[in-house]
Amino acid sequence: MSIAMEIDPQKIDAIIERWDRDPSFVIEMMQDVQEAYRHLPRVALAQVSRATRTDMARLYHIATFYKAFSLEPRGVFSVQVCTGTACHVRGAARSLDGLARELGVAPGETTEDLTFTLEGVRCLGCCSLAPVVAVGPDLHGDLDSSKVRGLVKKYRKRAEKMEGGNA
Amino acid sequence: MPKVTLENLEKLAADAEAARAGMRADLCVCVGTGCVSAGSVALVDELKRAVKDQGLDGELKVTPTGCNGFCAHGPIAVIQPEGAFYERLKAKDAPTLIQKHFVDSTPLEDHMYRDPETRELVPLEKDIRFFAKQQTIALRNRGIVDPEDIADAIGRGAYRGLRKVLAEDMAPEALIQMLIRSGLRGRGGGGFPTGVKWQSCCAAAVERSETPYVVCNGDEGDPGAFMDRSIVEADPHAVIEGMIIGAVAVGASEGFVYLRKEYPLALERLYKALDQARAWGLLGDSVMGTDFAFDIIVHQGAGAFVCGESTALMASMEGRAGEPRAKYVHSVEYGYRNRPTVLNNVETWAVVGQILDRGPEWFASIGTGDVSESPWGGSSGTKVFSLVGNVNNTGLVEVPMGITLREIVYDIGGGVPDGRAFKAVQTGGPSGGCLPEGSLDLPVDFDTLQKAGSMMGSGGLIVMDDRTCMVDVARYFIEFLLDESCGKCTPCREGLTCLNEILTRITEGKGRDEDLGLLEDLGAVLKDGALCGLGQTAGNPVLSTLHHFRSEYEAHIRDGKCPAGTCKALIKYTIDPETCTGCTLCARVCPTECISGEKKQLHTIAQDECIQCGTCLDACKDDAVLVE
Amino acid sequence: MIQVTIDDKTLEVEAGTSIVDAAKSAGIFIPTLCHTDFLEPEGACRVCSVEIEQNGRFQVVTACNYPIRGELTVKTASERALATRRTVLEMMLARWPQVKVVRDLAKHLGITEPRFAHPQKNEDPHACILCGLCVRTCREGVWQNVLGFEGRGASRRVVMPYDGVAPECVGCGACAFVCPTGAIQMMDDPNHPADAARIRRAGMVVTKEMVLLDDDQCKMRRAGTAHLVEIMNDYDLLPVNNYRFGSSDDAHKISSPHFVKRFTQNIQDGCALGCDMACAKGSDDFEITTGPDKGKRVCVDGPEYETAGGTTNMGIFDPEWCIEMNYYCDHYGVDTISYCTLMAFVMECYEAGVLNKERTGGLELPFGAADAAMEVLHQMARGEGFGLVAGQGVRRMKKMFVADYGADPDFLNDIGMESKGLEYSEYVTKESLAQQGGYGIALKGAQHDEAWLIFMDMVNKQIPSFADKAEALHYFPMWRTWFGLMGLCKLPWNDVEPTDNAETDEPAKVPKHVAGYCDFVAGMTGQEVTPADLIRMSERVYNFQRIFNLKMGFGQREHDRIPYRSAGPVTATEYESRAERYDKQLAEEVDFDPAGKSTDEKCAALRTWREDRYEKLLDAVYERRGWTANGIPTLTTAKALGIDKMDGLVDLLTANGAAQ
Repeated sequence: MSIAMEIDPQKIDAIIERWDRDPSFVIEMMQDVQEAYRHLPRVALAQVSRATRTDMARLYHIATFYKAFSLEPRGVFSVQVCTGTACHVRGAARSLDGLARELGVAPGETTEDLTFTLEGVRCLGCCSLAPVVAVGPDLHGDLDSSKVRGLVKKYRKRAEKMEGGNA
Repeated sequence: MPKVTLENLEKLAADAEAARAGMRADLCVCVGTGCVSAGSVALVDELKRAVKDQGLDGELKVTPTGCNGFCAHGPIAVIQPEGAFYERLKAKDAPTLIQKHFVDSTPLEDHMYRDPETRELVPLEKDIRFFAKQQTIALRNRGIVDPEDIADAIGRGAYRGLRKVLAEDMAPEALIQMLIRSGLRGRGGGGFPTGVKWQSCCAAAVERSETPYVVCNGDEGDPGAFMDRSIVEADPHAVIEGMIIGAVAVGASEGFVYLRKEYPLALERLYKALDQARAWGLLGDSVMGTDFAFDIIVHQGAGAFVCGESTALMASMEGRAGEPRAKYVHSVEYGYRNRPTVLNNVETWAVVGQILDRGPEWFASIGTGDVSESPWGGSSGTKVFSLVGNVNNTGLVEVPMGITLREIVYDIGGGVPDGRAFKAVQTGGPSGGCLPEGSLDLPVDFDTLQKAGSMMGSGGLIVMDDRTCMVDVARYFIEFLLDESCGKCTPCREGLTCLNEILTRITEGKGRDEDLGLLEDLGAVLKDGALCGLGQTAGNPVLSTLHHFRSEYEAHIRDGKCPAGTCKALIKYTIDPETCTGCTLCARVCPTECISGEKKQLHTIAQDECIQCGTCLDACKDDAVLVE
Repeated sequence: MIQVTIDDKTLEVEAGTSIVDAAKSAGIFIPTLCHTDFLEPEGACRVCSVEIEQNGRFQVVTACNYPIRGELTVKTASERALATRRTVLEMMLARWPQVKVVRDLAKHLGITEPRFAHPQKNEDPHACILCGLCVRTCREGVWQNVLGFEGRGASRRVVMPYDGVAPECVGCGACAFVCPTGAIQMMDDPNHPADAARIRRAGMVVTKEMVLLDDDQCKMRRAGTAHLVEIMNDYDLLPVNNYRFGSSDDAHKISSPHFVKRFTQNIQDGCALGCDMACAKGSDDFEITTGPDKGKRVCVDGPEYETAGGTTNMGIFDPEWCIEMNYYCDHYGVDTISYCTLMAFVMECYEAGVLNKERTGGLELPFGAADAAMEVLHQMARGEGFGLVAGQGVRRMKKMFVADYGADPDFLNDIGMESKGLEYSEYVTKESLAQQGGYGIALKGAQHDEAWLIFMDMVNKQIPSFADKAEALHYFPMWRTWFGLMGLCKLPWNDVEPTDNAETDEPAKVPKHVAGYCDFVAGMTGQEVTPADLIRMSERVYNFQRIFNLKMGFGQREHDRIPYRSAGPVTATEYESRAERYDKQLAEEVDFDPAGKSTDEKCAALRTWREDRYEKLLDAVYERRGWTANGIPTLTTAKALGIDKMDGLVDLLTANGAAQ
């Protein structure tokens, strides 16, 4: 997977059009930009600002207010440890600590190779499977701290494969 | 595709049911988020293939359904109409299941539910204790209806309530009076009578001759709660129907659903359901062929708990940071875009259609109190709870109001696992409180829980066992709230920072005697001084744990001990020589490699190097890791 | 009115009054921190918490934003209210122990030491205390939206986007002005003005007035110049049917509320970045119904007053049509004023029979013919049909209609509203002689941007004599030329005025603002200047321009003539429509008894008198300016201004009899 971040103004424009250039939907536009580039590039925000006539100060507040957004590129895999109450009482904090140790980053940070971003997130709504860790779109239930190492290994391999495929 | 009209709804429903009844059986496979994460989508595919392979195409139908509720046992398939229950199925089990159940007519015992106490097999869903005491209204279609097929929903009675409203050309006030008579109170936590809310909105709209909005709050963010997600995933048309009825009542022509982006499956199904409802003429310029026009727009939440607060939610829908504003003037008067706005949560909207279809008296007959004079007189209907934490049968349950906490935790939930002792049940999310053993016989309704120092909230029930430290729970909630505070008002921003500081100090064994008084003072000021509901209730986790579990705080402060063995700074892990089998698992997972011991020999922890991460505790299969 | 009891005082207030305002009117002090009169209350700091009792329910609320809507008892210092207020201050003191405003408020409440430690303790005496006054001032006050918040909860901060200095920030300084702690410092201007602080002080006066006074005085920020439609109609100054009339019963159909509801409010001004007045408006999401962009939804820059007034001048009272015309004029590069005025001329010619369907290529063009008028605009752009004729403007049309259709040249000269070839802008000047001069003498042609004297002259009667009018027609054109020299806009000078302006010696000049402009120049250049110095700068340029006009064949008395329609009623219909006014003038000022006279006779008498007065006005103005009777700056004047050294200037003036 390429991690080069060339921002395509036409792609951004297509996102803005998808939401009818409606300023009520700037948050949705920003979510799509975040998904496309794994962060909110400054030029993309400026483009949204111009197209919707929404001032940058407001967009910047939104970008730093909501958890879904990041101004710096996030990793290929976002590792989200649910810290909801159900997961908390079943040891989610230990899983989070374990992942932080295993990945060598603190929650909220991205590994240097841009492969993983570790986050503690609020309830993912799968409380019956607690403790839960989501890696990208995959949900892993009953993931206590003893299973952390295996999980990271699995995705490291997958990341290597992806790069191999690219080369 | 057919356009649904007042005249043909009954026939469309009958057709859909006839098609279903013509089949020998319907395999309902849960494709809620929990089961999907355990592979249920592949299971659906494999079941379809197996049915085909066995030549049973014309006899067996495979229906992917919304959350069954018994998530801990997923992936789940229930064979209708008999109700046979199979659990923990993998895709590879599909051919065997079809072969045994339908060809050999012998149950597949490996995947049947076994009662944890009696160890006996329970073949039918209705006999499983988890389901026995439940009564479903909001979740009535869970596990039965294909949420991605509107025909299926109509076959199960969707839009019947709406048809009644439109066919009888019900006057808004008459419609609102029915809601008031039903005693329905907001399921989002506040418990405000829904009909009364609609009435105020209607009055404001008429007075200012402005078209009001209806809004569905799906920003379910209470940690440990997933009722709304399950409802949208299982039965999106129930929510849509409720909103259309609400729109008729207040005279709205536009509605909005605010749903968390973190619920991708729910979003996907909602978009699909809205598209189908439009295509079938249930939304748009001519709802069910009448001259009533209404449509629904979806806004996606971007990760901010405070957006569950109505004014913050509306700010977010306007494309701004989700900061609340003062509610001295209510949003029923000045809400979204300053227009009169009715905002209800997902579960509330989902029961509206049922109330209209089956009548307010039916709804009022369920639950507690007497709502014939006023909806404040009791709590009618059912409530959905997510029953999670240290309880055997975790999952989503819908129970009649008035059921006791004990019935939920023990009869439905099957009690606390691993033979541990029950300590508390947390209700109402971060705004609620922790109730001890002594409160277990309280009936669950809006007013009783409030009196007991907690609240109904949106329906999270988190069971905690004796290894849960209540100071840590309080600190956990405060840390959560601090992280989610919008930072606009001083008490919430600075008060939570100070509370967090004090609680952290206590969990580290550095607490002082005067800290408890300070905690109480700060909690009280949050209640009076904070701007929005989030801040005003933010002190509750501290105040309720202080009230019920004061001795645990004192143990941390005076004795430097965490009785539950949770607070890292105050504990030490050791290995029990009696129970250690020398399996080496703990040594292999220990990140600091401070556990030593030969295979089949007693292992020991080098205390100097131990960082109290607890990985060994999680890993040990024999409960040989002890916490002091 | 609603009865409210605050502490021991009972008073009546209007519904919706905030507790803070009610308390203030009763002389009761409630401390505030994030609240100020000119911004919407925010209720963020919670310092103004009070306890209220309503229907037996007690509640702590914030006094700044709690609207009194029913009978109420307020305790400003109950135990609960004080506990809230004290603890809030205690939290702030724990975080910002050295900030004076926090210390003072805390002390006032009896707190000197907080009982708890704050992990984000900041000892800076000028720390930001997150009251948000600056952010709201930037948004609501000066409409710049440059400052905002970053993050949430404990990490909330006040920043410009990306924590830098936003290029959009114009350095108005309003944020620094309202900051209670001194946390906001202005950076040195990269242009290195001589005295930046002096410029900022001068600018702040304007900013403050715009924020506090515009809503009451002019509504420039809310409605833009479109708010003038109803005012002009009320004073009989709104041109209707080619300046025949000054008002219409239909004017309400196109008054400013119709436009305001289309405008996107509260965004940066599209005209000059950072302008506090922000009068430039845009009509958003407007669907075009004709021409090449039919069906498109566009944002239209406007409309301004002139465009709306031009629309009524064509007898059209449709705001949607006006916006579409505004759009296409912008799109085609056509000035809306010229287009409107020339179309009004075409329509009058059509009704007078000078034009007919054959001559317009099949278009019916009486007053009010909106669709056909729009079609002419499209034809002008395409260079087709009647558009080729109309697009040449009023001056050339007059000649063509006389030559080609045998039209009466006198009639066309009377109703063809142009001077020096430029179409009139959209004010009816008939009753203001000074303004007739303002249009006629203006160097570039019939435009009001040299002088707008109608209110001074006609309404307030401040300049009765010819000498007074001449003085005004000297001072104001020079003063406004100065704005042109500086690249400044005229509107902030006198559209919003200081509250005590009426009490000054010369309110029309807005002396306090003129002094502010002197500060501005001195702050920028380091040289002290007086108001007279500013006028002097203009006189040099203005006179040189007049001489330049002369060289190009435009700078004489004959070029300052105006069409009679701008000075009085041309037709009997016009006279009849205001007969009472004109009869009175004939009787009282012209010494002509209108009784028993025909309209034509009365018209003629009035015309003779008014035309004579215009000539006398020219004499007076030329004299005041140091020009010859033919309207040419004398050599003496040129020498006095130091512009006589230009090549050929002496010869030119000598050749035109201005050598003295």
